[in-house]
Amino acid sequence: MLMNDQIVVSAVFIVVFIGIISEKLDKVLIVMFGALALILTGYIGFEDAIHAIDFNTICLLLGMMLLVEGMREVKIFDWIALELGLITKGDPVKVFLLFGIATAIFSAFLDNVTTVLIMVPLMISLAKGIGLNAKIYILVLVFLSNIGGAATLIGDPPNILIGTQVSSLKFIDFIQYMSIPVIITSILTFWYIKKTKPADIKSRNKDFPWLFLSNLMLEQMKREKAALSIPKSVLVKTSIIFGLVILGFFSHAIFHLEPAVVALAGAIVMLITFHKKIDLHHLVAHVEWPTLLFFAGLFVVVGAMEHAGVLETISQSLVQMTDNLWVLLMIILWASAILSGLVDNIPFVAVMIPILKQLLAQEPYASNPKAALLWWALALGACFGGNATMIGASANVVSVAIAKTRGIHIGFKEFAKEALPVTLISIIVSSFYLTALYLW
Amino acid sequence: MSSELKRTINRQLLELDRINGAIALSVDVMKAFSSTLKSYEGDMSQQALIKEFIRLHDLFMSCRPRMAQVILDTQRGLLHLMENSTPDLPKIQGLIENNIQQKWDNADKIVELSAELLDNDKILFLHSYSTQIDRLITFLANKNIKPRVIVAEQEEVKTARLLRVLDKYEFNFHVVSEYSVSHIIDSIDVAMFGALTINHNRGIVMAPGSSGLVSDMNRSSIPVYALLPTGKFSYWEDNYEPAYMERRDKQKYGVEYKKDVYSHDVLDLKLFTATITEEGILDYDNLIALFIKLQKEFLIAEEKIDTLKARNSNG
Repeated sequence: MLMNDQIVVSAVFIVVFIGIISEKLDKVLIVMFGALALILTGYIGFEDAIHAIDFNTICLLLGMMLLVEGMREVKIFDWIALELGLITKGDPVKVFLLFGIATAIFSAFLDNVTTVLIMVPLMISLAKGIGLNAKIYILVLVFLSNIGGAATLIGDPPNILIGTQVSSLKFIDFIQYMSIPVIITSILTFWYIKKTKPADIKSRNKDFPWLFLSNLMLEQMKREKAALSIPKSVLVKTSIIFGLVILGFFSHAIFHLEPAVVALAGAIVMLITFHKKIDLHHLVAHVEWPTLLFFAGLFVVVGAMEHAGVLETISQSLVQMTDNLWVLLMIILWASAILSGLVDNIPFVAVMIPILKQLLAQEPYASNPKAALLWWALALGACFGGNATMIGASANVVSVAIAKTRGIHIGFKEFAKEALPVTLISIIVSSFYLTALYLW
Repeated sequence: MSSELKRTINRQLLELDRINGAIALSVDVMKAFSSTLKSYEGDMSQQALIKEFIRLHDLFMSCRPRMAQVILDTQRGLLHLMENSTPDLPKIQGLIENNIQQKWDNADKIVELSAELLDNDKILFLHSYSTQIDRLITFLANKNIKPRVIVAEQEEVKTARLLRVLDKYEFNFHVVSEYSVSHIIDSIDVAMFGALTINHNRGIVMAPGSSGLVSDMNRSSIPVYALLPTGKFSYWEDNYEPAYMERRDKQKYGVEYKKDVYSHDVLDLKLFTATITEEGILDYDNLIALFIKLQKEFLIAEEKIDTLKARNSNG
């Protein structure tokens, strides 16, 4: 039974949630307003609100944003994208596979929006230049960015939230538990798209004019790569810094360093190393401050819900609903997938984390070592579910917007037609995977 | 002919011409031919390759505007295939390499001839950005010939591109509006313009804005030269008139109106003192004589291709 305080705080959360979905106002403003309203009405004190903000998450995001922006400033991503294009030799099958794989790998270690910002423009130029159906190639990148992002703690915002707020989960745990469904889903996505679009993804080595066109495009890419003129030392230094950051993530538990410290250290080393090439003020201006404010506001709203005991009530209801872990795993997986497809998955995951924490502290789940699988159900559902619709993840929205500016219109239905089967495949794979882990 | 293929090739050629210029485009086309011959997995017999070259030749001819150098190179490749019953790939690759080298040699020759008209005391007038002008500035800098430069501003992006090159080599330059050169015209010693092509009417096609400037130079008896490799000559009738429309809104200007923006100007060749080609600095009569000679060669080659096409379609 909800108390008065709980009803008011829940109502604020629901209003915030609906406000985000309605897109009438910027989601950052809505969340900040929700947080402010809760502080002003005393449902959460200012001190408690500050404590509710998880600076581990905020600093991890900030560190990665600075690091990625620094790498973008030295044009390393342009270089990689052009290099990839040259390796494909303009062959549609290789473009499809190589760009897809690279996107999945990139998005495992960079955020998904950055990944599509790097890959989608080049893919559009390449597809237009050699006469490919750009839409299908863009969609493949979108799908693979969301799928690949699920593989690591830093790959997707839901994972960042889970990884930074659940202290028992380390970077290596994400790789260990998430990489198998990510790899299987990626392979099945390639298979499904290739199977359903054979005319769009076929080799042209026996078609002279088309092959000529691909080669002409490659010449232009060689010119662009030469024009970038990135010194070898920049490539080496950047690779070393980024390599050390990844190594730092893998070993953060051993050295008792939070992922946020690793990311910030990488960013600072990057900025010092390239202080002559990177204008700090310009770089800082490119940090996505609205995203950080969004997270901060959201933490306050969720903190108020926790403070009022709303989340405890929900977790108790979940325990009363079922004491069967497998059933709960499936509920969490499918519910988070469906919700992620329809609305912003970050508020949902932010709320679910304290709920699951409280649920795992209660019997029968407290004594069940397999109950930790619930975290992976939440992560898989939230990350893979983002593929379902055009608005399911930021990477989808950004890619569709980039395509539009280049004269390629991808409609909501058109997106969903290709995306729903891919999402369904990924959630079915995840269901089998979680079932196998549950039984094993 | 696939309309998708035609559309894509046309778009790609236009785009690459816009970004890199005609010479670089034709070099890239040659390199693309070379790579295609290496990686093509279809029938490599003489007949099959001729068929594929004819397909590409027809595709290039159907593009608007036509890219003269690309068409001429394809024609040359096709004639070579017709004359050699067994395609010798290394030989073809060698010919392609020679052709590419020839293009750069021609461009260098034009630059050298242009440089002979300049010295440190002259005031050079430039307007449109072109790869040929870009190469001329680099060449002059390397030879330590630094005339003072007056630049009439065209589209800002293009002028900025030109100014970056001048700035890089520390030329003394200053910029004026392209519509008010009368204020400085008396100080100009020589004007040079990169040209796009000479069309079938023997009009010289240049960047938009050139027409008024060249007329002004001519009226003031200032020597004015066009830089143009002969590979850019267009021997066919082409009424392609690319223009796009800019709209001015009422809120800003108090009246709503549209403005046609053309991609080029067509000028009378006689307005120029001479045209600098790889064949030399040619006055009007010599240039026209060269144009007619090359046009004749082009038309003979086209006839051969048409005969072959007719033979193929009959049997």
